[in-house]
Parts: sequence; C-alpha cells; structure tokens
Amino acid sequence: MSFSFTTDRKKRFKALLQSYPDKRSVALPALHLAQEQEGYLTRETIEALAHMLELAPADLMDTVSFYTMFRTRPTGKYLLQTCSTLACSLNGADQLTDHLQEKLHIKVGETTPDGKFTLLKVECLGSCGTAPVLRINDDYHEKLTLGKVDRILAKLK
Amino acid sequence: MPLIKIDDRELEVQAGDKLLAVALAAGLEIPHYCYHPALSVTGSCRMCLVEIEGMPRLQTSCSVPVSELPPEKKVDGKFDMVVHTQSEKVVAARKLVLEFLLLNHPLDCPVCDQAGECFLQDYSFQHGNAHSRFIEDKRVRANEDLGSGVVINHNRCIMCTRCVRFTREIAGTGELYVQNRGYNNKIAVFDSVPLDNPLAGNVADICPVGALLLKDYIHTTRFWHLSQTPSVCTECTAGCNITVDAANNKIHRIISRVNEQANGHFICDYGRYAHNKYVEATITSPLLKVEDSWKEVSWEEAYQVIKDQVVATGGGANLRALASPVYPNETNFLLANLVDTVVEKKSLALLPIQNGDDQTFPAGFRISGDKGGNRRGTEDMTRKLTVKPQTLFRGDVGVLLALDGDGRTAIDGDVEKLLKASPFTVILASNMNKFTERANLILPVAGPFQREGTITNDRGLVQWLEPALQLTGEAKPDWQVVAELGQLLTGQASLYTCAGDVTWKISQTIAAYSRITRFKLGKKGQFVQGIK
Repeated sequence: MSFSFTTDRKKRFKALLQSYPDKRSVALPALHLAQEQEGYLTRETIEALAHMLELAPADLMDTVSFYTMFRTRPTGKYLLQTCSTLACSLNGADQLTDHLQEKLHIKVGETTPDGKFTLLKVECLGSCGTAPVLRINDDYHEKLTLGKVDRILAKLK
Repeated sequence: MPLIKIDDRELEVQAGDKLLAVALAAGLEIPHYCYHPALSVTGSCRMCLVEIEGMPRLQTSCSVPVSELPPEKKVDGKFDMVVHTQSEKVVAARKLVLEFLLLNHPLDCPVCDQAGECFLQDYSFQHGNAHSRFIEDKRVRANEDLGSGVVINHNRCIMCTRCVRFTREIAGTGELYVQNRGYNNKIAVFDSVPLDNPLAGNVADICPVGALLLKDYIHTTRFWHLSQTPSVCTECTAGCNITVDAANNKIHRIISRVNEQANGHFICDYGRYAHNKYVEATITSPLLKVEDSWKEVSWEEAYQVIKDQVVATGGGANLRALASPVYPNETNFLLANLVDTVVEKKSLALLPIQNGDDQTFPAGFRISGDKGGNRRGTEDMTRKLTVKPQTLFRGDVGVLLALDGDGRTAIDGDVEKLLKASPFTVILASNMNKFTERANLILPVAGPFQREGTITNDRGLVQWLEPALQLTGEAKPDWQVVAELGQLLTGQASLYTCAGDVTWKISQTIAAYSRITRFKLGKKGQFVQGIK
C-alpha cells in the first residue's frame, strides 16, 4: 500500500516545508505527522516520505530507528511505555514493568491478542521528579504504585 | 594567516581549516578513525582528541577550525592556537577511547583480513592499553552480506560511519545507515535493499578496521604476503590510481591510491575487479595458425614467417597497422615509427574499442564510457599517421600488424573488411579473444598488469604504468616486440633497452611530451604541455 498524507495533513506538511531551511530538516516533524496518521511507520510510508524529502530511504530509516518514539510495528489501542532510566529504576520501574507483563500476559514489545495494550520499555521520559512514570499514549501517570496501575488499567476500555 | 603551534612545531595555516587536516598536511600524526579527507566531519570516534590551550576540555581536532585571534588575545603574544598532542591528559584520553572502542571487539586479528593494515592494531599498540577492564560478555552478531560483494563483520565495527557518509556523499546512493542507537547500533541497509552502486567496493577500502570486507578477498592471503605495486587503471580513460596487491605472480586485490590530479581517493568496481577478467595471460608462446589450429613456434620462426609474408605481399609498402588504446604510449609510438619508416602513405588506424556510458557521481568522481584507457596517448603518438579505418582496406593490402584490445575490441564493419582484405594478420596479444582468433600469427606480449610505460588520461595527465605481474612463458614486453619488428622490417638496430628509453625518445620527438620522462612522472604523473 502506498502512503500519502490526508488533505489536512498535506497542508500541514507543506507548511512545514516552508518553515525549515531545507527538506532534510523536515524529517522529524514529517515522520511524526505520518505516524499520527498511520499509527506506525511502514516500509512504504518511509519510502514515500523519503521521496518527498529527497532523501535515501536508508537515510530516513537512520532517524526512525534512532528515536524510540517512532514505531515500525502496529501497536494496540493503548501504548504503555515504562521508563527504564535511573530515577524510575530506583523507584521501582522494574517491578512496575514486571507487574504489567504478568497482568497483561505479554512481554515487553508485545501486544495483547485483543489488540488493546502494547507494552514498551523506553528511555527517560523526562519526569524524574515524579518517578516511577508510565506513559499511556500521550498521557503521563506519575508516582505510581502497583495498586495505582491496576486502578488505571481497569478504567481503560 | 593564523600562526599555530602544535607541540613544538610552528605552522602558518589558512583560517577555517580544520586542525587535524592542518596537522596531517604538516606530517604530524594525530590518531583518528572517523575523519577522512574526502568525507564530511562527524567527530564520532573521539580518537583525535587534543588539548588546546584556553579551551576547557579536550577537543576533537577533526572538527576544530583554526581562526585568527585579535592581537591582544594571542597566546605568548603571537600564537592563535597552541595545541598539545602528547600531553598527559591526551595520552590518558587515548587509552580510554581505545579501551571503549574495543569493548565489544572480538580481538580476532589472527583470522581477520585487516590484520597488518588495521588502525585498531596500530593505535592500540602505539596509544592503547594492553588489557581491558571489561569482564562482561561481549556483544556478538553474525556477519551480514550488504550486497555488491561487500560483507560486514559487525563485531569489529567501531561505528566511525565513514561507509555511511561515503554512500551519501560520494556515491550519492545512500544505501547504508546507522540502525538504532547506543549499544544496539549497527551499520545496516534499508529493509534488505542491498548496497548497489559501482563505487561500493570503496567502503571496504575506507573502513579503518576489519568490519567491511570484500568477498573477493576474504581469507585469500595475508596482508604481509602481498607486494604492493603503485600503478594506474586502464579500464577507462579516467586513469585512476591504484595499488595492485599481488603474491606469487597472482593479483589478490586492487585498491585505490590517492591522486588528487586523477581520481582523488576512490576507484570504481569495474577497475577494482578488473584482474578477475584477465585471470592469466594465456598465450605463452608465438602461435601460428596452420589449417585452423594453433601451432606453437619459436620467436625466430615467427619473425621469419613475418619477413617472408611481407616479401610475398608486395613488401613493406603495403603494410597496414592498427594501434590500440589499451597499450601504453611507448608501444604505439614505436608502431607509428615503424609504419612511418616502412610505408610511404598513411596506413595506420586506431583499433575500435567497445564503449559504455559516462557516469558521474555527486562529489565529482567519474567513470568514462571510453574503455580504451590510453585513447588520448595513443592519438598523440600516432596523430601524424592515422587515417580512418575504411581507407586501410583499399588498394593492395599487405601484412596487417595489430595490437590487441584485451577482449574489448569492437569488430565492426571496417575491421571486419580489413581482416578479410589482409592476406596475413599478425596480432600482438596476451589473451585469446574474438579478435586474436582472427590472426594468422599471434605474438605473445605483456598483458594487463604486466605492461610498462606511460599512459595519458583523457585530461592529459601522463602517468607511469608499473607492471605488477611478471611475464609468463615466452611472452615479451609489448614495446620490445614492436621494436624488434621495426628492426626486422627496417634493418635499423633498436636503440632501446627498457620502456623508459622509449619514453625518452617520445620526449625528444613529440612537443607536448617534451618534459615527460620516467623519473619526472613519479607516482602522481604530469600533465602534457599545451593542455587546454
């Protein structure tokens, strides 16, 4: 399947091209825009974007694989990201991750069979003061305990 | 111009030049991996760290530009930058950088093809520690085939990204990229799209360690068994500089040799693997065609046959000749001289060669479509005598003396008619091919990588072709055979004892070449005079 932006996003993409000195610099915002539309980045999407930005697909893949916020595989409805960096680690992030794995019966990087949850371990979420942190889609859940996580998950439909 | 001091050397340098480049140009060695003069600067390997007075931390010298300070701020009243490359801090930093680069390195030098020409080995020996404090398990990855005959051994890679920058900046194809980051990063190709460009082999040349390897060369020999001959590629008219690595009279690989006047830093894969086309010079003695089969004869017999045939076909006046752009200037010059002495009218033409398309790459590297490597030189040597091929088969056609085209001869209509018109064809060649099969007599001469002499590239750069292989069997140097034929047909004694003698004769005869001698050419060549 070939990729193209929706009409609305095409406008936003054109505006992005205007606000950067060269096409290469638009790589990051363009990738975010595409992921927002598609949910994750496929080979076709990356090839199409590379063509739009006059880059080699490998060049763009370099950027995609560098940043953990870009996903190359489909995710569940709720993307759970536990922080694995120092402050969260010291405050029980590992237990939190283990708990989620047991509760959802999946391992890190996997999606539940019903397509509801995907669990990922990521580097610093930048909220060390409120460790441990769990990011669910675009929301942060802070100062977590195992009980608190259970209550949050129960609310997710 | 800024005045800088590196250790105890004072250098006056161009403002804006990078410190490492300046130091290397002055002959000062600062160890480095990721820096390459033909590629952009990344400063990722940290090996070129130096201490610069007034700067808070050690700096990567590859990325620091030299600039001029206002008079009141100059160090010691005159220096714009004072650099220490051997200070305690720098020495300690190098040890740490090397320890870090070697964390996951398998230290498999005994089976590594890079051993002996590896910068990890050299710098570890000069600047590193004998031991590592890393006691954990090393990261182990399987080798991967990247395409175009290039294989990567991930374990040996130090992520200098020279190869990635090469495919982006020089080849312009950008097949390689850095996948993931940190501990998980590695050089990869995008979703199984292989490395595919005619310059791909260069990534193995520029890899400072044993990570990128050419399939063609893996485990064939050891570096220290190779004799390295600086020579010139004759596969097209660009005249790229190469180093031919041979052992026991067999070529194991061809790598690029830097010459800014010709190819810069790189060569194409057609030239890199050219030796595989000419596995060996298969013709080892003069061959006379007797009733459709080849009979080996001695040189004396061969020359007698030629003499008899020349007499039988109306003497030297009916002689025809084909000069070849794959042979050096010397051979073509002597052939032209012979024709000039023996024949009254112009009766020499250039052997047509199969051509391809010109290719130019983003950073300026070019591959010429003209596969007659010494086209310009051959034209310069024979200019006064050449006619169009179609005039050669008119009138009484006598013996045809031809130089071979190394299997690249385009046997077109004119050549076909000439071969048919000629009662006796003598071809000087090293390998059997479609053209040599048409001969009545083949004289074995030096083949590719055995030839010696000067060749002129399409921009007028004259370079010395150094033979990397010895002659096999009865074969003689090509210039010598033409000189002997001249002696045979003109009765005048040959004055030449080596190819360089002929080069000298050319300098005395052809104005544009008046400054060219073997000695003056050196390893970088010289331009012909009066070049436009």
